[in-house]
Amino acid sequence: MIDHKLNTRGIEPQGPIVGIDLGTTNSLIGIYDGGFSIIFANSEGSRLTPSVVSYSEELAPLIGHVAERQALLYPEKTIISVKRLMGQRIGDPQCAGRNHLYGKSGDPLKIKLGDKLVTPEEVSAEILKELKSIAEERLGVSVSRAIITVPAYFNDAQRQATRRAGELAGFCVERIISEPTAAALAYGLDKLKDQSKIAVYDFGGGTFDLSILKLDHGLFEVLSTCGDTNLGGDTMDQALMELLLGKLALKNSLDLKSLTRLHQIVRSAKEELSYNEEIILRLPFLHHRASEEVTLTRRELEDIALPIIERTRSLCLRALADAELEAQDLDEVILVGGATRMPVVRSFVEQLFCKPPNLTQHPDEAVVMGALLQGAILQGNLENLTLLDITPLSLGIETFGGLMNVIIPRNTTIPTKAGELFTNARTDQNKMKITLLQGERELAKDNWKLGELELSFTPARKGEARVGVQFSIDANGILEVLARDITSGEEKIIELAHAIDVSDEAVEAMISDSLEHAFEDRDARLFTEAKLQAEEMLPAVENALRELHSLLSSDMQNALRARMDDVRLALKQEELTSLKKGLQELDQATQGLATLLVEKAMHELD
Amino acid sequence: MPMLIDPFALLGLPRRPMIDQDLLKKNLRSLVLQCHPDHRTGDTKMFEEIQEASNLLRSTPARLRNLAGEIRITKSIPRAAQELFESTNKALENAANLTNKYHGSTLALLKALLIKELLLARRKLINVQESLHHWHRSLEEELNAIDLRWPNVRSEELMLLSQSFLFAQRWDDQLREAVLKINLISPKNSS
Repeated sequence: MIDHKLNTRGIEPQGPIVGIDLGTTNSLIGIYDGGFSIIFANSEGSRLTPSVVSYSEELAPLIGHVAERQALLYPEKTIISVKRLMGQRIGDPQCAGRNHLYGKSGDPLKIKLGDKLVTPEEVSAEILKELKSIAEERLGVSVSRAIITVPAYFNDAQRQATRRAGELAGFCVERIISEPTAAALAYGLDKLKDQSKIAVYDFGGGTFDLSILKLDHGLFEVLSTCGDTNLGGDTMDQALMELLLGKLALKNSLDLKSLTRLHQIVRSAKEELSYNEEIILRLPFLHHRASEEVTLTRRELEDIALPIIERTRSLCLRALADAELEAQDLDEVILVGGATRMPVVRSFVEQLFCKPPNLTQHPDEAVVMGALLQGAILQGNLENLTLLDITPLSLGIETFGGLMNVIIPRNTTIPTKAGELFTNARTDQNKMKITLLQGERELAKDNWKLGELELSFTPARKGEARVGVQFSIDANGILEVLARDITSGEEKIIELAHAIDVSDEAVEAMISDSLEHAFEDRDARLFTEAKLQAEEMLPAVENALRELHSLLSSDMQNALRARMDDVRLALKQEELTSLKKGLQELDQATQGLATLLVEKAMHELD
Repeated sequence: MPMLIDPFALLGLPRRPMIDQDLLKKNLRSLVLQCHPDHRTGDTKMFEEIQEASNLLRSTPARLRNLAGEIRITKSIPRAAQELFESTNKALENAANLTNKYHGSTLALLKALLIKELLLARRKLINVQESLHHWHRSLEEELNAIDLRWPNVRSEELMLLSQSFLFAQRWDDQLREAVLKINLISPKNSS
């Protein structure tokens, strides 16, 4: 591994700095040279290299299009969307529904591919190595310095893992920058004279980010950012898969090979539906069945996609509130990321921000363009451009009572530092443990645990030994901790025992909880669930009927009462099937009521 | 760890209670361009200090505390704001209860039944916000008066005003957050 410290202005590796977009679905590499931005094409002539890696026993791993084809033959040795696993532990939400994972809950994550056991960083490093060789082939010189982009909402562990992947691939990682910020840089390059406020709506393969920036004569200042590192085109693929499996009556009966094939079909179907209203999918010989055809309409896709897209609403509003802006204050809303090709996403953004989105940026290429521009800035080739980024998540420590005490609030301009003074709680206490957290929740346990720090005190009476701790977040958004013993004046950099490297009892407990449930009698549990739902639903409908009494025809009221009687009867007879059916019908019959209630409340209070 | 350098001097501003926000922005901008670590003239340590100083100057409570030469923050609520504190708390608690109830229920119908109460809670929040802004305006006037008398000002006066600003801002943040949470549930109507 290359050992170096970022941002040191001493001896640095020589040569050009390339920009890399290490994406969930596709990755790109490019360079800024002689006033031009160039994105390199791979050996298949494509600027997009699929982020897919296929391992084999004898040969070196295969990457990109060729690995995508291998996925159909050897799904058990091929991995997609590895970016989602970066910086994760077994049992984290991102692991749900993933194949190939290996290890105890709470352990650093390992991926089992054939007979190989690899880490997410190692897989990412294979993709980066491939990109490196594409650039070297095109440039004719060796390339060892890189800017790598990450989702704005990546936490410290995810950023560290990305940097480690870069180092494993033989890069000196000059900077980790946020994807929406990079896209803003690409957008703003030819608008250096301007003064404006923009939002970047970045909806990619696996992650969503919204960043708000102020552009002011070459100074690009990020005001706020909000996002979800587990929300993207992938999420829609999964939902679409389920719809298709339902249509084919194939639920739970497909092997890995057929599933992989279906996934690829679903992905291209989703893409085609951005341009066609309806398509016919030809499904060849899934699960030993004859080939068949299924029709899929844009409407069906949108019904699935809308609730997923809707999840970005609160994140956008949060970012606006943090920037102390209203939607009307923005001059442009720039779309990037593959998922923003969908017409339904575009109309959602238009409605949310009250203006048509700006489509001037290439959805797949804007991010790498920004990365290579940042490379040019660091090399002194773009002197009139400065990027001021922020840390997306609050950094804090756990205090007595399990609360989070914020030390560096979210949306603070980086690089930044903050200090905190710790004293011994009893005489001759020689050690103190501090838990570092990242996140916005009040309770410590709801935030991401970065790791633990151990401070040592020189022997002294209670309250007299003092250690000052300085937390710095560098320009990469990565944390460094320095402790200074006030009594002795001694300073040292503390290594954070990364939470990712230690097992977490809480996660383990969560997993075993869910296992216990699996052994319960399934039908009994289902009935209890349905019963609870009925007990919640019946009084709610009664209340709604009372509220809306004057607005509903007596026929309608009677119909609703009849549905309620059905549910009550099924409850009495303890009949699961009819209870579920009754609840479903009641739910359907009352759907209009919810809308009516909201309208009535709004009207009354207007 | 307190700042060792005078933040006013660092950003080229006169050391007094009121500051010229435009001048602060202008000076900050030129210092940032000069010190940002991406540039050849870059200096990370200096950059961090500039950011820390400008954050301090922008925050009225921190600025006044710095002028008073105090580091400690006392936590008692100014007597003048006792009533406001109680109504803020009540409105916040009510709103938090309702939003939690809303997110806790699984049925669309139950959620819909809560909307009316939520809208009422938002109205209350906005009312409290208005009285808070009223208080804030009177604090601004006080700040202005203190600035006119400068430097003939006792440090206790500075600390009391600093603290009042601190609470006013904290409550305003909390109220805004609560309103935002309700807005996320129900789209804004003309309230």
